[in-house]
Amino acid sequence: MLEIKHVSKSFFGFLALDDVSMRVEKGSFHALVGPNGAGKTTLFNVVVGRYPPDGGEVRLEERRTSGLATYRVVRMGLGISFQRSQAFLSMSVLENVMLAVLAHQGRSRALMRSFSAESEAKTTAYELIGWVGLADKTETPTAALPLGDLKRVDIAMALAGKPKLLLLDEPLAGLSRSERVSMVNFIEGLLRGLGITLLFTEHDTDAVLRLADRITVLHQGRVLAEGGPDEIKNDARVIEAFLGEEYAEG
Amino acid sequence: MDIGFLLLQFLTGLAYASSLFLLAVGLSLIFGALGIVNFAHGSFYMLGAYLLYWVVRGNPEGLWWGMLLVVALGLVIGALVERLLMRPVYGRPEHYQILLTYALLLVIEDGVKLLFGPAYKSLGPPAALAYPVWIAGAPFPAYYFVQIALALLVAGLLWFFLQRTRTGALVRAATLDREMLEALGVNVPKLLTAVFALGVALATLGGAATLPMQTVSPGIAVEAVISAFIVVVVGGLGSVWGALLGAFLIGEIQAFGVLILPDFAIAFVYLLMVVVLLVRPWGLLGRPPAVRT
Amino acid sequence: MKARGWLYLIAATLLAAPWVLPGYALEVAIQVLILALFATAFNLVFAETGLLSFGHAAFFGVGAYTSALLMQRASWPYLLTLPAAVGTAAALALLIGFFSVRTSRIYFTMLTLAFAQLVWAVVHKWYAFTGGDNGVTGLQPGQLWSDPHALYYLALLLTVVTFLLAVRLHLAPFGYALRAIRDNQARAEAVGLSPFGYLLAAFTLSGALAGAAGFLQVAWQRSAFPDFLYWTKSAEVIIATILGGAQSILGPSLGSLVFVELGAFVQSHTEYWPLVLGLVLLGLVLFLPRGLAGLGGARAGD
Repeated sequence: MLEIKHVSKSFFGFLALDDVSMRVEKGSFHALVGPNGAGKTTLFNVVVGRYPPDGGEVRLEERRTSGLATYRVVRMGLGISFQRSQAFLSMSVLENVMLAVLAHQGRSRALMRSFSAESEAKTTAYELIGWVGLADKTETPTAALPLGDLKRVDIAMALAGKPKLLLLDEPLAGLSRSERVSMVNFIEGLLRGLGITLLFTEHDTDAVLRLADRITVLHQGRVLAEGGPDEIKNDARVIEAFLGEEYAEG
Repeated sequence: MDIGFLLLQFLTGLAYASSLFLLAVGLSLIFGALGIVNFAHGSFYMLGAYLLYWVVRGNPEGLWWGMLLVVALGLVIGALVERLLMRPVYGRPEHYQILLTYALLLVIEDGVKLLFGPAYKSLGPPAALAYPVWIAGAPFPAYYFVQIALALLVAGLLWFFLQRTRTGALVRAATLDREMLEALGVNVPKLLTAVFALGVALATLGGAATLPMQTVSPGIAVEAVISAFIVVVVGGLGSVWGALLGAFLIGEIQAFGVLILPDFAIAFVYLLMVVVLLVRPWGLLGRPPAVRT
Repeated sequence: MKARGWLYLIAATLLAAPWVLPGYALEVAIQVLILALFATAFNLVFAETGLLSFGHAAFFGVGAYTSALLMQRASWPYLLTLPAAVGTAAALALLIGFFSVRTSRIYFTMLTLAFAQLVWAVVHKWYAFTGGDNGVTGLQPGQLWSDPHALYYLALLLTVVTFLLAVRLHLAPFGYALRAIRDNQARAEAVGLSPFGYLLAAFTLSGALAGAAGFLQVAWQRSAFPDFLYWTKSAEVIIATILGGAQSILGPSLGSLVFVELGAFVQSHTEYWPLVLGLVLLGLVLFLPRGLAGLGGARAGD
């Protein structure tokens, strides 16, 4: 589904990604983990087209995406939910999701139709909002939503284009304990049900081990290890570099 | 075109550049530290010329102490304006700051008209400098050398202040990260008042220094502020050395541009501004916005 | 129902005005309409995209000069110069926008200012073609358009069309996409919107309409001057917009009404209109951040 081949990226002489390669298989939940500064966010930004890689390339279903603008990558079938999820804060939940639907259908350029009369997009948006569990908040201005709900809006917008691959950057960051539990259940329940391929980054080890079928560990800009949750959990290098400190804390 | 003529043209450009530098460097400092685009900057420049005229009562021999007095007045005016008007709009969207400083431009222009009358004012150079120097067989105003020397002196003093004093280091830090300074326990509001006052004082000095060569009217403010914008945009918003380089380039482009296409020398200058903004939006010596990793 | 009542009242007032107002007041009313058109056009970019253009005088001025020069040199009838004025203003906006809308915030403002000043410098000095700082004067827009009643209705028509277009855009998917880009550009790209095309389209539309305002100014003044393109003209339209309230769809028109009428009133008493305006603006910024529309608690666009 997604292939990252020998990607390197440096900033001001600092090598953030050093020859990173990995594959995300169709239908899998693939986690990208690593301590802060390991290069997760940089890799994420390369995949979404925000940074062009210095070397290597990224392919989504055999089509090269690296070096393209974000909106082009999105149109090729990538759904994106950012870590610092912010909706369009001047709009309601429904308007946010409707706009995402219209954008994916190529209908957002219209001048002579009324946004509110786009009944087809509205129906789709209601469905998406229902999926993410915000059916009772469709008319709420997003500026008034708590962070957990904003992330759900974000995911609904990312799903609006029926993406082949969904990217979630730290879906649990900033959430309370109870919000975390419900977000994990939500991701598991919804996305498995939809048969979506998922690539996500996350700091919460328990959540990673529960959600992921496959885990890639980044450390200092390199791939340190890759495998199923059980392999990674027991990999000595990984425990040393990353999981060790987490277990020590907990 | 012989070499002497080119030298003369170069020196004329340098004199103009000196005046531009004094006008623009304060704008750059203020933008760097306060993040405010000060549309009233040209008005302080114009005000400086009028203040000089007022304090020396039309007597050119009073130029030297008159300029000192104008700088002092500029500091006071700048500090008052920052305290009373600028402070409430920090952190508000840019257009409020632009509107506020534009309002100030209008008030100062008409205020000067009310106080001094709408007529042009002029003040010759002091007697010792009233005669031209002969360069390559052509007359060159001796006072231009004063302007060039003054600009170099101010650049040197600013360098010393910014690089060699603690307050200067804080001003440089403020252009990088104001929040960090606050976290370090620096009295940031006081620092910002000082920077604004300094910037205004530099503008008033610039205006005062041109009075012996140029007649002034309240209307010069709107042209001056645009010239100052060009200089700092070309050199880099927030950069003192950028202002120096920008002033030099624009002074010389004007001086030599009139030889090539007399009517469109000013268009060359705007063209330079456009090109710099397209190729290096942060200016020749400015710092590019940080890339987040 | 109440809103509809107000609408009828405003429409009736606007239509009846020329028959009630004495000569001078009618001239001022035309000026109100021209600035309202200009400000509504400017606000298409400012309110919907959040980009502050300091170069809109260029589109106003180029529209005016196109109309003036076609009348003077090619003897076109006044009304026929409208599409030409709008067209050249749109072309210039497309060109300037192409380079400017990629840049962000303060750089956008500076770049639009620089481009507009470049155009001003050319118009100001190109004596052979534009008449330089003498401008184009002594224009004869024809008997019909020399009657202020006719000119008033033409200005009213164009202003209403611009206003309806602004409302149309605000409510259309295109307007929502613009505001999405304004709110959060990264998120907008992540739902597949390409900011450049949207911003350029909005900027060009806005510039084209500003050209229509310049076209009207020519008939009103029977001349065109380089001042039409100077940066202080751009400042004027910004002031009128923010004075009325940029976040309200009626704000720019309201601001223009106050700006022009207050100006005419003050100028009939004193030559120090800029001083008064400056003090009004100081008060506005320090005490009334949402503009006059904020006084009535009016909300964005509804």
